[in-house]
Amino acid sequence: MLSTVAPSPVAYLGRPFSIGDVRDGEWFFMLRALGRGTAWLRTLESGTMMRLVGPLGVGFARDESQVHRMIAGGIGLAPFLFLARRLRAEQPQARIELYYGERDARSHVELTADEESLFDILERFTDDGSLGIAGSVVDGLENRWAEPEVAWYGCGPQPMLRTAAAKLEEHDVEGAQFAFEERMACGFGVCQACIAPNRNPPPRYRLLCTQGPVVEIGKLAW
Amino acid sequence: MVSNEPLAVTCGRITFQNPVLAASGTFGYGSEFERFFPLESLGGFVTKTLFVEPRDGNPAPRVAETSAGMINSIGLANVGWEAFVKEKVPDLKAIVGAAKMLVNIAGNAPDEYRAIAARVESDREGIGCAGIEVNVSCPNVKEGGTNIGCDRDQFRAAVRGVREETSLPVFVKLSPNVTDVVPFAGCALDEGADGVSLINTLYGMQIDVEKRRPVLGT
Repeated sequence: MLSTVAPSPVAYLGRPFSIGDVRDGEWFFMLRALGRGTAWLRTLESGTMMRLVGPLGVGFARDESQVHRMIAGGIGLAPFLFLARRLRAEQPQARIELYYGERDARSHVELTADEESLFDILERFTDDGSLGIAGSVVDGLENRWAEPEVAWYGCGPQPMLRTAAAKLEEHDVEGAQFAFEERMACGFGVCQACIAPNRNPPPRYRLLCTQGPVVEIGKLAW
Repeated sequence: MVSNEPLAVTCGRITFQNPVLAASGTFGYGSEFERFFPLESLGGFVTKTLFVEPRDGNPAPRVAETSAGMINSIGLANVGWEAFVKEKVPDLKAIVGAAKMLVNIAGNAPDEYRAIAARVESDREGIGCAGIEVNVSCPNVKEGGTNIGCDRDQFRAAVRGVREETSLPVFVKLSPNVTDVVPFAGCALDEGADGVSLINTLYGMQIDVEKRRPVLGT
């Protein structure tokens, strides 16, 4: 959870972020101005003191696999650089793939050469075809859902994740891990705001801050 | 070691080691804060509202930021009394020290207040409970959803039920959603409450003008 130390006139609550990357002891966060909170954070000047509560919750399990395949939509790219960096260090023989979609070329996050080198395959998609492959990430993966020895990871807009989850379940793929986003006030289980419905209640809901934000897709009711 | 005694305060029949209490609804079951500061440094804390049975709470979104803070509609989600005693209390007892725990209770109708109070009374020694705070700001599901804390007869019945079931100190958390809270405070004392606490959630609504609907899920 990130907020400013000085009271903000705009954003009263902190905002939950993925740890975007960790390099040489420094933490990086990917920020896109989508609402008033993130717009406010983007106006802050370098050197502004921040309040950070974290790391919180459950991250991606990194079980051994021949292929690690990440599907990202929009700012859902945020958790994957750090995940790829960790997997690269822990499983140097594994193939790491990123399928990253945005609305248009202008929205695409430019990666550095170092960041691109984390991925053996990096395919970009745009809805309007202005960069990379035209169409959605899910459409682009048409024949690859059933491939064996693939660990799946996802993060992005709910409709994209729902479609991807349906494809994976259709092909009996188990253990895919998706990172979810929800409004939070505290980030550690007190405010009870960030719920997602469980597939097998009770309880009916889980908290995405303490029992997420990464959840195996079979555990949720979509 | 510095003594806390100079800061001790007495509230009704309870003496707190200092005047800092964490309010119900802001503090979970208590143990969530262990990693941030020692609970034993508090005067006391009030648990989130507990019912006899577990409650799922309301659908998302449950919180909305406003220019003045936030509004929320959690729907009194809680694990229920039995799970609280079995799963939450053991952790709490290990860290609470001299801080006093008050349990906040509620029901879906006045008779359920009596039932949960009876459970607290029978478990009071085992859980180390110093008192009860009664959350009267609940809809009465048997009376068309009227707010118990805003209806004097139901309010009285709920407080009376709690009082008759327990000898623990009882505080009634008043609802601000009435024309005048004073008569309700008087009713609480008439029914044997040790005191009142102020205040429960203010009603509020935020509208998403683009979508033309409320921001909260309920």
